[in-house]
Amino acid sequence: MKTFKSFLVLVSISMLLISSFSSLAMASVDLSGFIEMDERARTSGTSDELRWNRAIFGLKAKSQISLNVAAYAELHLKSLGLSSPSTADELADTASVQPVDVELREAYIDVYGFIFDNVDLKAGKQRIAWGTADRLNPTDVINPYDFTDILKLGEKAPTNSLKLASYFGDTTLTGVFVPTFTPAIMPDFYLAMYTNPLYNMEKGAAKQGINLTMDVKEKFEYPPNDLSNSMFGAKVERNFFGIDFSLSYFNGYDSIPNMTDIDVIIDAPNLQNIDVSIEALQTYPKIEVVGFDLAGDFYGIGFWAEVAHVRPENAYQQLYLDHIQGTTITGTQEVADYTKFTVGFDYKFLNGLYINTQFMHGFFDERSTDLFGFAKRMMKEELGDVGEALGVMFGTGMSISDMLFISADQKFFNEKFKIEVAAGWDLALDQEKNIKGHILKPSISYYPADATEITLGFLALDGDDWTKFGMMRDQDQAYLQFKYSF
Amino acid sequence: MKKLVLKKFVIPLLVITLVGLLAAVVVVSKEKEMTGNEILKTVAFFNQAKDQTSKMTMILIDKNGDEIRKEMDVWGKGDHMRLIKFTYPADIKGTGFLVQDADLDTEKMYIYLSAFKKTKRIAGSAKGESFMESDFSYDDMGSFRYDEHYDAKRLKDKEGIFVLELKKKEKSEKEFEQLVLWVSMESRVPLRVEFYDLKKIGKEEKLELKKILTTDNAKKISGYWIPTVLVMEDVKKKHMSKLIFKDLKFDTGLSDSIFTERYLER
Repeated sequence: MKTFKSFLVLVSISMLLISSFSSLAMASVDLSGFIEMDERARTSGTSDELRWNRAIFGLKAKSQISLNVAAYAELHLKSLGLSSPSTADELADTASVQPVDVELREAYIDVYGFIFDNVDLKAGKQRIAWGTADRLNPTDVINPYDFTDILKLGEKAPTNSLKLASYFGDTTLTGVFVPTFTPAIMPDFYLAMYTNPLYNMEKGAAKQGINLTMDVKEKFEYPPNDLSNSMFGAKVERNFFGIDFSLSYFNGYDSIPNMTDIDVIIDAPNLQNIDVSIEALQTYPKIEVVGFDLAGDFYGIGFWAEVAHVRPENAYQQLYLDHIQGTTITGTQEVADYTKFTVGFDYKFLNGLYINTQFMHGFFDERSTDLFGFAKRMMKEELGDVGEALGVMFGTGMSISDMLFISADQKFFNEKFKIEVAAGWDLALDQEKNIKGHILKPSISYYPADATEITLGFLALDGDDWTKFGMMRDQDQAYLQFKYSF
Repeated sequence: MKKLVLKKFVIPLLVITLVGLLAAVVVVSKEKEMTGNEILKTVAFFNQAKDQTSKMTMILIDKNGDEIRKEMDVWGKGDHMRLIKFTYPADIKGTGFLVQDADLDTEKMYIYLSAFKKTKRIAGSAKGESFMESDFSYDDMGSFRYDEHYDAKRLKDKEGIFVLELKKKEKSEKEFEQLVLWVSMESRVPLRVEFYDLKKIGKEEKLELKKILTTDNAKKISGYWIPTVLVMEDVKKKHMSKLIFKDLKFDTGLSDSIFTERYLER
């Protein structure tokens, strides 16, 4: 009830804000938005669990307050559609019976010609998109990841920031200031997400014929909301000989949690029955990112490359393994610098077929080191074969992956239909078996009228155990989406 | 008195009429002498003004008569700069399209995706590609300076209309081998353009009609004759695209700063 009241208050305030746009200096307000319905059913194994049953109302308001000042706001109201009341009180609570979510997606003011004619300022909650690649942007580090929608990998969440852009002929200088840290929004299947393999350990062990029971306590530590923990970035862009180049720098925090400290107590009377108690600390390491990207085209073929060198500051991982066959194993490793990059190209044929290909080194969450790989190495060093056997529960360890993504789409029947197929492969370039996993996403869209879209699609993931897509194979799903924009 | 009236009014009037008639005869005979290339140089097709702004409606019509409508604001300067912002339908509203250095080797094209708040560089060299899924190519949407790429041969005139046969120059990179132009003698606006390409049939190469452009509703705005309706028909696909221009303005002194990513993202 409380949540629903807060929701009503927020909607009322939002409508007031939107209506006050028009009263501000007799500005005109341009209202637009969308209505969307999103149904998703799991198709892994014998499950037909409905994962999403959402209706979303999105409202966008843009106001040109004066010739050089504009304001923009975007609000999403989501009916989450999956009821789960379990008590009589909850049955009387709309928030439990019909849960809703309210998101102020963006709200900012644009000032064109801020003090100087060639300087623009944007202040407020905004999306700042850096990088030339498609969705797989290692240099796009200002906003945190939003992993809530598995169909939109690479999505980012807008955050409160100040952006100042200065234009000097062909050169653009951008400065960004982000007052506070915001972590990535993790998916609802976080427990099975590749970033937290703790919860995959039981499945992994079962495959090895090991009966593993776990007791896990996790703690997250965030950078405090002090000005000293603010983040900033800078970028310079210019075109040379028809190719767009940019160089960027970011000083802030990694938005994805890093397992920094792990305290493991193992009780293994034999190698087939193991009880594990884990206390894990996850933190958000301070990082500096130096980025470079370019984009151009060559005889109708678009190409781009984006590289980010990440330097974690004082980032480390500490391991404490207790009672492993009567031994205590400890260790500390520093998270070393690492580099991620994406290269890609696209082409549109005369018949309208569009193809996009990207090679990615370093998936969103990957870093130079991982704690589990460290634990396995330490156990093998200290305990030999027994340690190696027990280390199986930590999986194969994670390192920076190489992935290839290809997508193709084409419209038919006077743009009434569109077929799109996207696929990705997790590659092991240095091994005989080159492909560790894959993702496939075919879909068909129908446009019955202007600004109306109906999409039917499917998502399939699979791979070796402990690989990116292997750990997400339970997320196979079919989806049906309706969207009307106004 | 009669002599005075004659001297003051009638004689000057006669002289003016005679001069006018003579001029008309000169013009008509000059037109009769003009070669195809000379006429082609005078063809007026969005290439006269220094800059222009307009509201454009694009209607795509398939063989069943089903229509898709898109509306956009268009800015253009010279032959090399274009900015387009979609205003309808709602799902593409806010999407922008920028062309810089068009028709040059260093041409750059960008698309602004408002949903992602991101400007993306797109391949601009494939000029034969369809513009926004229409039957107009990027080439068609750019400069219409046919005289730079084609040699013209004058065919038999129709009433008030020049008919020209255009053959592609050797070093030209234009898509079509041959065009046939019907040009209004009065406004020099092309009324109809037929686009032909070479097709291999066995060992022979024959010209095949690919597209037909027709124009309508030509108006004189700021001293320029401009067709405000263009219809491009793809003969093979039996598909048509219609462009309707409104609120056309020319030579308003558009700044180069409009044709930048900065303005594209506003």
